[in-house]
Amino acid sequence: MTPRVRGWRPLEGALLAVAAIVALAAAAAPALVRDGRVVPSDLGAAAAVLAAYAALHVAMCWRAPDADPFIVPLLALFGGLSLTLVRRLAPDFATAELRWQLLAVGAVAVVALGPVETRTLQRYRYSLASAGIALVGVTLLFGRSAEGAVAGAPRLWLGVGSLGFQPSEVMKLVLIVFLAGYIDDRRELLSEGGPRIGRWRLPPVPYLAPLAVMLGLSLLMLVVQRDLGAALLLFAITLGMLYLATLRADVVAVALAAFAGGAIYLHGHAEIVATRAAIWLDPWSASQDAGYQLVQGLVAIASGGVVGTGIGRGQPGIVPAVHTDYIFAAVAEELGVAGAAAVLAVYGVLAWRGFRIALGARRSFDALLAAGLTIGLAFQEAIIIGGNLRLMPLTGITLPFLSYGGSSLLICAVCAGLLLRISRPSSVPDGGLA
Amino acid sequence: MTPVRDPFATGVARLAALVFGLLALQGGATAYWGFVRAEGLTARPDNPRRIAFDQQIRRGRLLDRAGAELAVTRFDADGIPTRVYPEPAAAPVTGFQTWRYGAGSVGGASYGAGSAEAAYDAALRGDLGSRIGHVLATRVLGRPQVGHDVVLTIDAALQATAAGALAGREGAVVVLDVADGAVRALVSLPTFDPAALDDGRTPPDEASSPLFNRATQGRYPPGSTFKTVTLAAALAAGAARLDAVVADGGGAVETFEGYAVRCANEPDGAVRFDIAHAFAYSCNLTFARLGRDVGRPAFERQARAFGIDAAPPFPLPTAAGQLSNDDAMPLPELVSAAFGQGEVLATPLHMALVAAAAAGDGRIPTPYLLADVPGVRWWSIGDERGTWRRAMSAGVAADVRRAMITAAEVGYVGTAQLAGGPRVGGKTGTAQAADGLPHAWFIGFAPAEAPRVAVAVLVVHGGEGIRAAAPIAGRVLAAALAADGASATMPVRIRSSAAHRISLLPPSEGE
Repeated sequence: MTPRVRGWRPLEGALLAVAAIVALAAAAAPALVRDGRVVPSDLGAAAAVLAAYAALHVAMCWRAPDADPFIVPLLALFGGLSLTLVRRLAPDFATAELRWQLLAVGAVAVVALGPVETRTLQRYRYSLASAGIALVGVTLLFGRSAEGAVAGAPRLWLGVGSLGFQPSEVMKLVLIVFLAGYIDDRRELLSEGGPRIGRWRLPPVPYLAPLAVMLGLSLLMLVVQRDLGAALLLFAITLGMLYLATLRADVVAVALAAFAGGAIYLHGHAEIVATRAAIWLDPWSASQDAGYQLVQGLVAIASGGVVGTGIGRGQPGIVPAVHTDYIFAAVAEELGVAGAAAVLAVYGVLAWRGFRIALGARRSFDALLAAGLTIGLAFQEAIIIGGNLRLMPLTGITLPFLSYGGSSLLICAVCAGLLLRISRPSSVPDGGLA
Repeated sequence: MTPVRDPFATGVARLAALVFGLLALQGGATAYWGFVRAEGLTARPDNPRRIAFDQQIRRGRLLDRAGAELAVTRFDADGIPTRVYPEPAAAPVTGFQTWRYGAGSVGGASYGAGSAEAAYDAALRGDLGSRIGHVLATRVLGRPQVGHDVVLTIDAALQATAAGALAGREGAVVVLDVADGAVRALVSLPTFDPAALDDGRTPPDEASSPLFNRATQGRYPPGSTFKTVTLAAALAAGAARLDAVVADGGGAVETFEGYAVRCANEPDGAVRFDIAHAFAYSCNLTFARLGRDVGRPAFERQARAFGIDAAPPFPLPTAAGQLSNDDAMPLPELVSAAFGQGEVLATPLHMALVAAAAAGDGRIPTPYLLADVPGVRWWSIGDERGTWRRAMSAGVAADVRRAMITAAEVGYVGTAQLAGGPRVGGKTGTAQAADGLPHAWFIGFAPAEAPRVAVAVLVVHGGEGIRAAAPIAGRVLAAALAADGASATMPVRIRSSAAHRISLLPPSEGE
């Protein structure tokens, strides 16, 4: 297939128009509730972000007419919704949120259309991995808590002055890039057997090594940084990508058991793990202290009903950290179970496109990278929403694309940009996976 | 493309299945919390949404039978609602609304336990009886929820008259429609100012239990008013006829297993009189004998037929009375129960229902409070009306009625008979109380020839029924009948449910 040089992208344009209507309606709703009318300045921020995505759409027509047409409209929809929710629920962050949203569009554009090929990432996989581990190490030593956090809160941030970021977010992307390269290097080896223990053949050593390293690193993060969410996510991504390479369910089971064993051990030795487990099992008896956030989150979800109170009319602000960890509860309260299901469906569409891009990739590294990015986003979404819904213990990570959070949003934008880039038929094909 | 699925595609397919499975699980969990568990979660006391939502509800008014406002919600400039109670005398019926007391409520407003505010909360809030389309439109458009007005059977003027007649003494007055049990007045003193509870003032003098509804929940020895029950038992068992003559006056004494009973109340010189006059003179000895002659099983059966042992069905909480503290009922206890002492306890509502049964055809109507909820279809609010029990045959009821009229004419009930007022029938009671003056009682009905209204009056530690209770009953009955004259028909919307349809006309004599 010869890539087109330029061309209209009618599906993307149409979907973007739909996303823009939804996002503008959402932006108008709080003003309507508050003042009874909507003036242009109420829509300014959303319009700016949507205009940026429209510009990205035009650029895509120009530079990447064959790229996936779903990603950009999904980003625009999430971006507009996130902007509206954060501006109302955390007005102090309104300006920062707009800045991050615009930066995110830029990041998508640079990654998807810029000069850096995925091959370059592949080439520097070990350098990236080393930098990532160094970053985590520095955070372990010098990390600080988020601004305004209580004493003793997890120290997950690195920064100079007022600029700060969460290395674990970067680590997520680095891990995916590294594993894609690592697996691609050892495709033949991975399909062979490994050492035997009795009748059970272990997976090959190249499989076990990163698994063991990541298991150790995750548990270390858990203990030292008490960053349960990130530890779980990094471990899950590792496991998912290595499963993709070997299809060994037994090893996944053993790895999960090891992780569970580690978690149970920590349950007795790390207060935060014990607390999280206890409030997961019984939030009701601690509803005024440790379980307050979880219970209030569930009350918020319960308050929505079928279609919700409408944006601007609910009171999700009662839930602590509603603009970051609990944005899904705000969606469920103000847009109801129907709106929450719609948001989940949009994540489903994103995962569907991500897996399609992985299957259609020309190069095996790109295929692995796309699959890894997709499960990374999907697992992150499942971990935080699962925590909100009491399907699993609550761990504080962001909801991709919707939560407020600069590092999170930028990294997610880079992930989306990479997916877009991989979805472009490369001008220089060099050996497909299939 | 190779037709064989390569391992990578298989892996992607499986991971995709996992991801979509997780998404489905999240959707299911959202629906679980959003639908299945929603009611319990949103009702949590620590859910601040409920009070915010409740405060914007245009709560319906409580109206009396003629449309006078008993409770109405007003909003101040900031949109904060206050519940106003224009008829303070109606407090025992309306109850109160408060945003302060969390107990017994689920966040939001709470209501005095056992009040119309609580009993009809769903209709007043507008949760009930609204068309689904209206409910949806209200929610989607964010309009304040509008509740329904609730019309009660209470007559505000009569309620005020009855409360005023008690003149600040501790006690209770219950006024019922004989035909169908509509509660026209229900007074309990001391009472409270419903509006005062929300602004920080506690009810005056907690020791006097102003929130305790003596009319429906206060259990008192009924004294001689209970002779009505004994008379019905004796008439039904054939142990007595109204015109059977006894010689119990003139200081006669009979001893029941060591318990000496004398007549005590007969006028000077009256030695021989018939049963009707024994009832009129409230002769303890005659009724002790009747109790013994009827025997414990039949006496108990009659008391149960009057519902003394049970809590009457009513929108406000009611208490059951009792015949005895325990299963044992030796003869002295039986005979003293027969004239309303011993261990017998009953509420003023019980005794008003006894009067209503005698005034009517022997049936005890279910007492009710809900006249109408305008604009709501009747099947969604329910009909409180009905027959609770059959206390006695129409013939026995006619005899009991006649005895009560005799009591008013020649006996000690005359103080209930106002000059120029309606002819009444009734029975006084002076119930020995352990800790002070006796409780003064009166039960009765008017007009004597075709009773329409039944009443029970209790003055706690009021002394003699004839002096303390009967005059109050006379004023109340006269006021009730005067109100009847002013508006002959009650504005109850007759709901054409055959099963519940009860004639609003008084039953004909001797039916």
